[in-house]
Amino acid sequence: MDHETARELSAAHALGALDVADEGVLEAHLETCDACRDEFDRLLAAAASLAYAPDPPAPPPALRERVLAAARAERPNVVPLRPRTPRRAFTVGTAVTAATAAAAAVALAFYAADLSGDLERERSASAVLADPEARDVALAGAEGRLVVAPSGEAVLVADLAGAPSSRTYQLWIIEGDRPEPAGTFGAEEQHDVVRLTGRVPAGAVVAVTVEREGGVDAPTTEPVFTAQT
Amino acid sequence: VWRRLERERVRGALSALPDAQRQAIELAYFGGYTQSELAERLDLPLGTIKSRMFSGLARLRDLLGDADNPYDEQEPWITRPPAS
Repeated sequence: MDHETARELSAAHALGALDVADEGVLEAHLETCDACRDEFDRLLAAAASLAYAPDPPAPPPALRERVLAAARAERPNVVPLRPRTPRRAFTVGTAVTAATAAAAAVALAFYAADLSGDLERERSASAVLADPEARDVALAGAEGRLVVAPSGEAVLVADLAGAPSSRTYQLWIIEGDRPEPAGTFGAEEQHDVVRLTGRVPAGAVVAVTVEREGGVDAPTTEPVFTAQT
Repeated sequence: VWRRLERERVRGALSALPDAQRQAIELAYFGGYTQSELAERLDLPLGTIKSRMFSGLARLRDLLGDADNPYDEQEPWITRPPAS
């Protein structure tokens, strides 16, 4: 494994997001490469400080139970390492599991309950995408999907060309015959991730049209694509 | 008080990251996704996820690594089991 690859995988490992197939290879490299090991230690410290990011309101009991159950059921992902020095008595796997996974399980509870503050929009999109009970709905007419949480909160993940100049994409939630506006976006970046401003009731259709900048009260063009939930 | 200050500091650093990098980190850390699960979920190539995650976390490390970083002097805290 080259050092560049090891650095990239180290970041994922520190965040507890490494794929199983990569774990053994990375651990083996870290055991023999001091430079990469130091880099990993620093990334791990940065990842661990994320536990402080969410506000700490008490999570709803049901959510807390679910998070703890999920944490208990977590796959065993510890690859034991022969300690190089007595100070390394903890294996890397143990350090990651203890410092990251457990803290993350608790942090997730806070996080899901934390929808205030500057990052609200972005966080909420992440919370929907992270919801294990969210459903994926395919788009008709474009690459991508609509992810709908049981609460009705929804996030569009779409691969669109940027909107024409002085035009914007506008989202609609259609239940019955009256489309409700659900936000606008420009698709400046490919692979846009957009949170809908309204909740999507079961069975509703989500559509996207091209409208004048700023958005309109009712759609004036044919949908570019739709999603039937 | 220290916890609150620390929270502000970490949030400040997070919000300084580009959206795509912040999202990759948040979904990995708070959402518990692996890299390949994330790639599938976001319809992005695995390589893109890997590089976003690394760039984001490396940037976060640099932003948090200021002179007053209380972690600099006491490395072993990492191996301490987290308070529950």
